[in-house]
Amino acid sequence: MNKIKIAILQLPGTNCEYETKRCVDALGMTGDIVRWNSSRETIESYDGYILPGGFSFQDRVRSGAIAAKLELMSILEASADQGKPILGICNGCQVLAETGLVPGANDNKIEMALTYNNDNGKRVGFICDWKYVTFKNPSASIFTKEFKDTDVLAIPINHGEGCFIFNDEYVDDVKTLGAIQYCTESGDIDESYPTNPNGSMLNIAGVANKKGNVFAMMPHPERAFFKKQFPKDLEKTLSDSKSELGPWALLLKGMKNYIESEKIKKDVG
Amino acid sequence: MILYTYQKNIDLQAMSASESMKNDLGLETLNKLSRFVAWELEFDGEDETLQLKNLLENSFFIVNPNKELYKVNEMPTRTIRNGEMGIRVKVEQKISQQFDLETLNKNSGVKLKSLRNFLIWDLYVSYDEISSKEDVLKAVTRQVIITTNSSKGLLVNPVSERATISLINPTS
Repeated sequence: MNKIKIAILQLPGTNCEYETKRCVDALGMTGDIVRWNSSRETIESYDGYILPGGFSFQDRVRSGAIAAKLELMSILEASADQGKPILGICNGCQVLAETGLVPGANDNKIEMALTYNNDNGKRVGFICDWKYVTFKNPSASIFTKEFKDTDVLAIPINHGEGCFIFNDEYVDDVKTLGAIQYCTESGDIDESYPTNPNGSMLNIAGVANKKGNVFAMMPHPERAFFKKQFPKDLEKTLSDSKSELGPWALLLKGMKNYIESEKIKKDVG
Repeated sequence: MILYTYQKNIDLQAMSASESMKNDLGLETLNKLSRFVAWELEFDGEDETLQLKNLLENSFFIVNPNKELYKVNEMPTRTIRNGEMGIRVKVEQKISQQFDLETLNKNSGVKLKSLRNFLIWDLYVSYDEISSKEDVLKAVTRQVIITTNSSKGLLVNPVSERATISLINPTS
C-alpha cells in the first residue's frame, strides 16, 4: 500500500503548519505543506487534509471568513463528499465553520459560528491555557473513534474567538454528532467559566460533521501530541507507556486507520 | 452619542472584503466598500463632550489616534455618483456585549453609563436603472452580505450576527 499523503494546507497567515506536519510524519504518514493556491490537481492528489491554526488573512471581516470563499474550499467540499477526512484546528476550525462543512447540515448551509470568547456576554479576551476536554459520541467521527467517552484529556487552547454558537433549531442535532467538550479535571461538563473558557454552547470544543469525516476543533492537538510537550503539572495525566507519543496522537491515528481501511476497500473493490 | 471611527489610511479589512466580493463572489459591480466601527456611548452627568474628550485621550480602547479618525453623531459619507447606488449594512453581535466600564471610568475619570459597538459597511455598486433599487439590494444581500454557504455572502454570519440593511440616501 502506498504511503498515506496528508496535505497540510497553508493559507496566508497560517502559523502552525510545521508542528502539524511533524505530528503527521510521526505516525508514518507523509505530511506535505501545500499552499492554498496550488492547482486543483495537486490538492486532489492527497488522501486527507488538515487546516492548521493561525490567523488566515489576518482574521479580516471575521476569523476564517475570507478563507472560506477561496476556490480551495470548493475542492475540500468535493473531497469531503467523497469521504476524504478533513481536520480543522483553531483557525482551521473557524474556516470550516464559515464554509459550512461542519456540521455540514443541509448541503453545507452555515449552521454554526465561532464568536468572541465570553462569560455570559462579558468579554474574556484572548485565552492561552491548558484545558480539560472529554468525548461525546466518539464513535461518530473517524477522528475521535480511538477515544472513549470516559476519557478526560488536557489540551492547549489559544484563541480569541472560540465560542461555538449553533442555530437554535440545530442544537438537538449537534448532540448526536461526534464532539469534544470542555470539562473539569474529573470529567464533569460544567458550563460555567473558566471550565467552559469561551462560553461555547454545550461546552463544545470540537465537533464533527454528520458523516464523521470532517472535524473542526478549537484546541491544539498538535501541541499535546508528544509527551514532552506537556507541562510538569499535567504529566500525571499521561500514560506510563514508553512511547514518546501523547494522548492526542490518537486523533490522527483515527484518521490514518480510516484512510487505510478505505484504501483496502478500494483495492479489494 | 454615537462615535464613528474609521482608518486614517487604507482599511485592510475593507480591502480584503472587497477583493473577495469581486474575485470570489462575483460582485463585479462593486465600486467601493467602506467600513466603520460605531460606538454608542451614554455618560452620566453633564458635559458629555468633555467626558468624551477625556475618555478618548486617556484610553486607546475606542480610538487609536495613531491610525484612526472619528466623527461624533455624523456618519462620514461618500457622494453617490451617477449610475451608482449605496447600501448600508449595520452588523451587531447577537450575544450582547459587556465592556469593562469600571476600568474605563477609573482610568479616564469619566462616568460612562453604557457602551455598545457595531460595525457599518457601506457598499457602492453600479446601478443601471433597469432593475429597481430594491431588487438590486436583494440580489447584493444574497450575493455578498448574508452568508449562507461558502459561495454566498461574506459580511454577516447570521448565526452569530444580526444585520440591518438599507439603501443609502443620495442626499445624506
